[in-house]
Amino acid sequence: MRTDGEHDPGIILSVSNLTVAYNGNIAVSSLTFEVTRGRILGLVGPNGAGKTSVINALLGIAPKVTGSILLAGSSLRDLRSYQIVRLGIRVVTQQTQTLNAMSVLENVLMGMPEDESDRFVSAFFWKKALTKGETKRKADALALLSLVGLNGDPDAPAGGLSYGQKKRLEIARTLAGEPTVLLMDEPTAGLDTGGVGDVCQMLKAIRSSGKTILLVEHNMEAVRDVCDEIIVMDFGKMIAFGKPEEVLANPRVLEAYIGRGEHG
Amino acid sequence: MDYIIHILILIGIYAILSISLNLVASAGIISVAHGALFGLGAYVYAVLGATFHLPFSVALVFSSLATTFTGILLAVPSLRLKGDYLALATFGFAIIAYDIFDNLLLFTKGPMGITDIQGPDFPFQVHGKTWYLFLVTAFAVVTYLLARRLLQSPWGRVIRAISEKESLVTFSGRNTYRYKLVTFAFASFWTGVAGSLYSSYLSYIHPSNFLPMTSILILCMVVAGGMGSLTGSILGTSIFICVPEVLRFLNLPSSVAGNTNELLFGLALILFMLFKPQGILGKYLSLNE
Amino acid sequence: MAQVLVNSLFDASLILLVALGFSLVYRTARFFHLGHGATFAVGGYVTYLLLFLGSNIAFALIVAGLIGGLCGFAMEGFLYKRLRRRRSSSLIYLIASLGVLLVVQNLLALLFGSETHVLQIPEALESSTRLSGALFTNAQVMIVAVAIALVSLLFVFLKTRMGLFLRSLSDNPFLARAMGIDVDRMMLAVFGIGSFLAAVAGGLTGMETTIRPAMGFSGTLYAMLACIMGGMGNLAGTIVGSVLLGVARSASVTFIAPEWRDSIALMVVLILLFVKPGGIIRSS
Repeated sequence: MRTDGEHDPGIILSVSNLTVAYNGNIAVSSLTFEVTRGRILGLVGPNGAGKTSVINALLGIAPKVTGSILLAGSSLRDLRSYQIVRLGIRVVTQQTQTLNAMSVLENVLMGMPEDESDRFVSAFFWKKALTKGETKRKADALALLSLVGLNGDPDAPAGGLSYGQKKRLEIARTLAGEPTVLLMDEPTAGLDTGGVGDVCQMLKAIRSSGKTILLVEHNMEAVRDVCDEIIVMDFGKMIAFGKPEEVLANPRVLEAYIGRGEHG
Repeated sequence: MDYIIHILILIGIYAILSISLNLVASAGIISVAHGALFGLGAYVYAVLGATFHLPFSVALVFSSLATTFTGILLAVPSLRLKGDYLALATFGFAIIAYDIFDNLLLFTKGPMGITDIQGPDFPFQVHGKTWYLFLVTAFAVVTYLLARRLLQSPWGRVIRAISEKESLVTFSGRNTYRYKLVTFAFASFWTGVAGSLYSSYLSYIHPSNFLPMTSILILCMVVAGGMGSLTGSILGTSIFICVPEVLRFLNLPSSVAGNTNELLFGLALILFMLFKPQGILGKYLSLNE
Repeated sequence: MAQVLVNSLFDASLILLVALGFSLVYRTARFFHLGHGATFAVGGYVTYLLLFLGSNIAFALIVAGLIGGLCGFAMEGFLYKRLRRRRSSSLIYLIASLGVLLVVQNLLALLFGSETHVLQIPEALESSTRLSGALFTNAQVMIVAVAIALVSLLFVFLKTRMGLFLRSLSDNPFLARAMGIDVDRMMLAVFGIGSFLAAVAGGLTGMETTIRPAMGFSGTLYAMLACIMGGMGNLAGTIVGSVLLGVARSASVTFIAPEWRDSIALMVVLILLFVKPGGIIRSS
């Protein structure tokens, strides 16, 4: 890690001494790590280890946070959530979040960054440039839908999709935001082996397009398959860091899992 | 015939109110302050017209600006609150507003009301209130078209998404607070328009025209017609104006009529929440979790 | 000055009885039960009727309370339970409970007329005493006594097994259900108890002042204000909030014109909400 204060362009996300507390409970304590651009970093640990709190802190929705969080050198600490997202971070949450009353296409459109056609006045003054912009957006959205394998009727309400399809829709929506960093909280949860395999494929494809992923996962097959490096957390602290094979053979790590009754 | 025109005019004025409230509801905001803003618009117009003798269009614009400004003032702190707290805060505002209408004698002449409010100068005389009907219908149509345009635009898409899952919109990089604030401000403008039309049409206003119950009534119209459905709002408005009028024909003494109306409104709210929370024509079940 | 303090005590007691029920419902069911004021009004009118028919005070109050409790059962059993099955949002409950308040209030107005009614209370209660410059009637003493008694009973109850179930239900509904707690019965208990308290408060208020149909609305309003001030769902905070509101209301009688009283109370609470959404004491 560079300590000379210069920002290393290879490091896209730099977290140091992060502490997150809720109502007097310390969820994360003195966590320090860096995420290298274009890699997938796994964040694993038993339930309650603080993984989701890390994500919340990155997104600006954790209540009591101390420490520093730098995205490409600039601090995220005092920004509001929507400002953080605008800097290029997107999140896929643990619970599937889709706009069920709106159409599949609209769901993806909602993921796209804000531009001038979103403005209030644009609703009334319809310039040709705006109409062209909207057409392009819709075309891009359709392309993303077929990228994630959702080839059904784009105008159907999203509520009618299956669980696996909704997860894919979420990824399409997230990609629509053209993020540099993706935070993914257990994207394989609830999927069968085939589904897990599909998600891993997608993650690797996203990585090869140059994006960085911070992946919270319980499914160790996925972790071994996809992650370049992993961090293991337990009780809010980092207990191991390194390549998946090395780390997962580490006895301290195994003890953390077995001691808590978790299966790998 | 005159009577029917009168009812249609009232429906038109209240349709402006319920369409604008529906717009706000489409952003996931339940506001029970619309009647108060309506009253503010009516009183500002009345004072400008009766005391300062400003012409109709000028007074209308000023009163609408006044309601927009007040709406923003109310919304800025209130929109930070959670849904049901927000509704209560707006209702608190409605109660305070009514007390001001009733007691601030200097401006509103309290329970005596303001009389002799001038209306617009119509170019030629037509039968009775027909001119007013045209005017009100024109404004109602404009409100409807603008609201519809808004809901169908990309901006409207953001609004509808906010009402369904606000956090999702925040995580798409959008400042949801600003979207809600703009929606509320826009809707508040139209309460001023409705208030001015009301004031000039009746040419006499009184605090009892703008009770906290009025805000609840407008909410009833939106709830019944369905959130997100503008046509539904017009339907809901018609129902809630016509039913009390129909009851009038039963010749109940006025105090009983008032209570019966309110009782029916309450019953309507209960029944709609039980059986059809999305209203008659509503598309978005945005009130469910 | 002493008079203001004395008056606040009575006021606070009345507010507290209603507010506790409101807070209890919010804690357990997580919504603003606007219909709470309806039972307050019902209690007042039942007491009025019974006193009119010549019964004694204790009997009237108890029956009023029981009938209020029944109303609470009805609201929960016929309305809120159905909404709960549908997993309705708290906004839907809010609007539905508003409907309940409107229906009950106007029903009372249709049955009894919109004017105020004065309750016939025995002379013994009307006699007053003067203590260090403050005047109070026996009726007012009774109010405070009843309030203290009922509130203590409530807190004792909350320590019992059933009370524990109630608290675990409000703290963690999923877990409570998983542990086999019968949510429906708990809810009936909550609404029954809360409404009982409100109805008794209504009867007491009637004895202290008068009754009128709109008292349901102001009952809900002040209960809500007290709860918000103390932090929604925080029972101890509700006591604090009620006392503060009682003091504020009695003080404003002396210093502020009556027509502005409601608005000023509202404005204070609104400002509090905006500035510190957790209430004066943080809610749990």
